[in-house]
Amino acid sequence: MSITPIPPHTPTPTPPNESSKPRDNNTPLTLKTKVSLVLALIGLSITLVMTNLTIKNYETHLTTAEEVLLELAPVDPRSLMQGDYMALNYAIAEPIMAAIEAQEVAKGNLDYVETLYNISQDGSVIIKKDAQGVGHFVRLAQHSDSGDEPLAQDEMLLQYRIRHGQLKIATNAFFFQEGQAEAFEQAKYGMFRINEQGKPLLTDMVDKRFKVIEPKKVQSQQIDNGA
Amino acid sequence: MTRPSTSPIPSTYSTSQTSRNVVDGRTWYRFFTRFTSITSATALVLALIFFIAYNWMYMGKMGKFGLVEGALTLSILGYALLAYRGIYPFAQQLLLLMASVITGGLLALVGQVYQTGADSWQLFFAWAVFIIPWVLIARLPALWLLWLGLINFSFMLYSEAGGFWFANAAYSSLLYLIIITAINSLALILALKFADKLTDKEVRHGPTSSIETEDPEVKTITETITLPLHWSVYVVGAMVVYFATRLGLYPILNFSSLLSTVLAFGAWLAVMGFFYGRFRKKQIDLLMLTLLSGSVIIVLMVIATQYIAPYLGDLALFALAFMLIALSASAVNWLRKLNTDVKQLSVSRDGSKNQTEINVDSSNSFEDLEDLESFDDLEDFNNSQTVDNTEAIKAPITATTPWYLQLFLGLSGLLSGALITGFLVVLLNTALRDTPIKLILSVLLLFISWVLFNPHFFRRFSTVAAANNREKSHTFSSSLAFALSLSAQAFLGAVLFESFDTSAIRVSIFMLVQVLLFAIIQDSLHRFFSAFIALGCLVWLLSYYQLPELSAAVLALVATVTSLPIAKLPFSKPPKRLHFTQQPWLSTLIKPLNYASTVMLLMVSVLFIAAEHTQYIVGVATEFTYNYPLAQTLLVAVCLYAAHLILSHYQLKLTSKTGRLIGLSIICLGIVSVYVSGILATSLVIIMAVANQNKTLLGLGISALVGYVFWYYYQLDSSLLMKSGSLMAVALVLFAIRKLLNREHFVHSSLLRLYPTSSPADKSNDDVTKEEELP
Repeated sequence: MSITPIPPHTPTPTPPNESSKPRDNNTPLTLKTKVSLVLALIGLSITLVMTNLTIKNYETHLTTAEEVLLELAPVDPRSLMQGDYMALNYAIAEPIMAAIEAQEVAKGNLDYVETLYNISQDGSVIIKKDAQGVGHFVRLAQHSDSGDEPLAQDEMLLQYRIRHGQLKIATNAFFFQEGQAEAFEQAKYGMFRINEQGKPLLTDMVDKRFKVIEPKKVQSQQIDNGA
Repeated sequence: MTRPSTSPIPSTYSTSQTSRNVVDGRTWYRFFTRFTSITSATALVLALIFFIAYNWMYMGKMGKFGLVEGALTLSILGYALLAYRGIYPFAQQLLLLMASVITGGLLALVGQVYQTGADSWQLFFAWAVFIIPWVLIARLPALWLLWLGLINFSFMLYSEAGGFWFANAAYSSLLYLIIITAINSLALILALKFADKLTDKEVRHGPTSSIETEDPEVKTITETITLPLHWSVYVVGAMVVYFATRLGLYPILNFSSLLSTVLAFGAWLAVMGFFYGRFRKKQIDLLMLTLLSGSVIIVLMVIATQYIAPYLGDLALFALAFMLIALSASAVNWLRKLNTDVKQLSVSRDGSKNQTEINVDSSNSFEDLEDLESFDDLEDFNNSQTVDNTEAIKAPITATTPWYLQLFLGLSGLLSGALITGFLVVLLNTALRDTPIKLILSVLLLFISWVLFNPHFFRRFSTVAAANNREKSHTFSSSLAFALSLSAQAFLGAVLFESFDTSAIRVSIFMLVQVLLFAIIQDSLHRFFSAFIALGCLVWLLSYYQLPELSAAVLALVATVTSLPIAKLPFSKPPKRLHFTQQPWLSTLIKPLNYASTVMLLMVSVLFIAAEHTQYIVGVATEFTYNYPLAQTLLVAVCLYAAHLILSHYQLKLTSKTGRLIGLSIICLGIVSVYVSGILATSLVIIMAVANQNKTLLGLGISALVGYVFWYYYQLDSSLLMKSGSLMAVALVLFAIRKLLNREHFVHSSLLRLYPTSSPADKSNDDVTKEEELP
C-alpha cells in the first residue's frame, strides 16, 4: 500500500559505511573499534579513580585536620552576595602582606616591593589560635619545606597564595545553595580545616557568636552534611 | 493510512523542484534527526550541570558525587555498548561528547564541595587531560573544539595566575600571546592537514568518485579552487587571527624593546603570510581571507592612529575615517573579485553538467548522514548551493556577496561613521549647539549619501557584467555613503532628542525616519541597518506601552512572512507571472528585512525577554509585568502559521494528519518551554533557515541557541533547580519526538521491509514519509 516513488534523478542509495551497520555476533570486532572501546573505558576509569582519590583525600583532611576560624574582612560592601556564592576576604591578609613587604625591604629588595601588588607567589605563615579558636598571624615561615619549620606548641602552619597582589587562603568564594544568601550575611568568620602541612579547606561560615551558620530551611537535614 | 492525504506529492514534487527550491524530505529528515538528538543530548547534560550549580543541600555531597559519576559511567558504558554492537555512530559521538562535558561538571563539583579554591586553570587543565582518550576516539570536530577551548582557557588562566613562566611581568603578556598563537596555529595546521587528507580520500575513493574521476576537469577544479572547510576549522582560524592581531598590536600599544617588537611583529607577519599562502595561493577561501584583511586593516589603522594622526590635528578623525573606508573597500573589492572568479569557474562547470551535479549532490547527502561530523548540514548546504549558482548569478549581485563581507563592510561603516561624526563635532563645535543647524547638517549628509549610493541609478537593470563592474567601482562610494548616512542619523537622533520631551515621540519619529530610509536607499546593507533600527524602535515602543508580549510574536511574524513566500495552494499550476515575492524590486526589500527581523527576534528572545532586562531598556518606573503564557501563545500561533506556510509547499494542510502532528509538537514544545521562551523562537528561525537552505541564518540560529544557554544560566527569574527541571523536560520531549520520527519513518519505509536489520541511521529513500515528519 505504500507508494514509494523514487524521484528521477535520485540514484539508488549507496551502501552506508561499514561502521553504521549493526555488527553480526559472529564477525569479530575491527581493530579500530577495539582500540576505541579500550580507550573509552581507560579514560573512564582514570577519571573516576583520580576524582575519587581526590575526594578521599579531602574527606580525610576534613575529618583529621584541626579546626581554625579566620576573621572575614568585608570585600565590597555593595555586592557581598553574588548569586550563589559569597566573595570573601580575610582580616589576616593585611598583617601577612605587611610582613612580606617589611621582609623584602629589610633584604633591600626594593624592586620587589614596588611590584608587590602585582605579584603572584605561594608561601606559608605561622598562626596561633586564641581561646575561641580564631587564628592570628604570628610570623612568616622561613623554610620552603613545611616539615623544617620550627613550631611552638600552640602554633600552626597556614598556606597562602598571592595572585596579582591579592592574598588567598584556600578559596575566596563560599558556595551555597541558591537563594540562601540572606542567612550567610551574618558571617563573621570562616571555619577552616588546616592539616599538618598547613593546607586549609574552607568548611563553614560562622557568625559573631561563634555559631556555625545553617540556613533554617535545611537545618534538620544538615546534621550529616555539616562539617 | 495517511497515504491518501499525501499521494499528490510525487507529481508536485518534481514541479516544485523546478519552479522553486523546495527542500526535499530527505533533508528535512536528516536535519530533524540530527537536530533533535543533538539538542536533547545537550539539554540533558545542561540539566545535570544546572543541577550541580544549584548546590542543593538536601542532597548530601556523596549523593551529588554519585549522581554525576553515575551519569558519566552511564554515558561511557552506553558508548561502549553502541560501539560494540556497531550501531548509531552518531549517537556514539554524542555520548562521548556528553561524557566529556560531564567530566567538567564532576571536577567543578569537587571544587564546589570542598571549597579548595585551587587556581581555576588547574580545573580546566585537568578537564582537558581527562577527556583526551574520548576526544581521540570520537572524531567529532565539536569535541576537538571543546578540547582546544579548554587548553586555551586553562593556559589563559595559568598566565593570569602567574605561573612560573610568567613570573617576570615585563614580557609575560608577549610570551603568553606568542605561545597561545603558536598553540592555535598548530591546531589550525593539523586541522587543515586532516581536511586535505579527507578531500583527497573523497575525490579518490568517495561515493562520488564514480562521477568525478571520470572527468579529470572536475577533479582539478575541486582541488584547486575550493572545497568549503568544516565550520570548526573557521573557528580555529578566527582564533589564530585574533591572537595574531593582538600580537601585531602589541609593539604599537606597549612601549617595548627592539627585540620584542621584532618578535611580535614577525610572528604577526608570519601568520598573515601563512594565511595568504594557504588560502589564496593553495586554495581560495574567502572567509579566511576576510579574516586576514580584517587583521591587516586593524593593525594598519592602529599604526595610523598612533603615529600619523597626532600630526594632523583636527583633520585626524576625517583622515582616519577616509583611510578606513578606503582600506576596507579595496579589501572587499579584492575579495569580491576572487569570489566572482571562483563562481564563474564553478558556473561553467555547472552549465556543462547540470545533471551530474545534482547526482553528486544527492549522493553526497547520503554519505553525509554517515559522516562523522556534527553539523555538516552546513556543508551540505554549501554543496547544494553550487547547484543554485546559475540562478544566484542572475540575481542582483549583492545577493551573492557572502554574509561575512557584508558584516565586514557594516563594521567598518559603523566605525568610520563614528569617526566622521566625531570629526564634524570637532569642526563645527559651537555651531552645532543650534538644533536647526544639526537638522540641516543631517539632511545634507543624507542627501550626499543618497547621491553616492545611486550614481548609476538609471542603469540599474543592466547586464550581469555591467552590474559587476558597477559593484566593483562603487564599493568605495557606497561604503562612504553608508558611513555618512550613519553619521547623519546620529545627528538626527540628537535633534530629535532635543526637540521632543517624551521619549515615546522621539522613538516613534526615529522609527518613521528609518522606515523612510529603508524605502529610499537601495543599498542592501543600509536597508538591513535601517530595518534593524526600525524594528528595535518597535520593540521599545511595545515595551513602553506595556505590550512586551507582542514583540517576539510580531518579529517572528515579520521574519516568517519575509522568508517563506506565501504559496498559493493550487501550487501545481505553474504561476503565470513571477511570484509576488520573486519580483526583483521586492526581493531587495524583503531580504534585508528578513535578516533584520530574524536578528532582532534572536536578540529579543535570547537577551531581552526577561522582565528585568525589558524594564532596564525602557526605563519606565511603573510596575512592569511580562506575561509569559500570553507571549508564548502568540509565538505558538506564529509558529503554526509558519508551519502552515512550509506545509503548503508540500501540498499539505495543517489539518491533515501530518499537519496535526506537527501542530501538536509545536504546541508541546511551546508548553514545555513557557519560561524558556527563546527555545521556540530560535527553533522557528532554524527551521525557516532549513526551509530556505540559508546557512547563514542557520548558523546564526544555532549560535543564538548556544548564547541563549549562557543567558539562561545567569538569569535570576527562576531558580537553577527549576531551570534544570525544565531543561530535562525539553530534553525528554525532543527525545520523544526523535523516537517518534524514527518510528514513523520506519513504519512507512519500504526499505525497512527489505533490510529489516538496518539501523535508523541507514538512509531510506522514501521521500514521502519524511515529508510527513517535518515538525
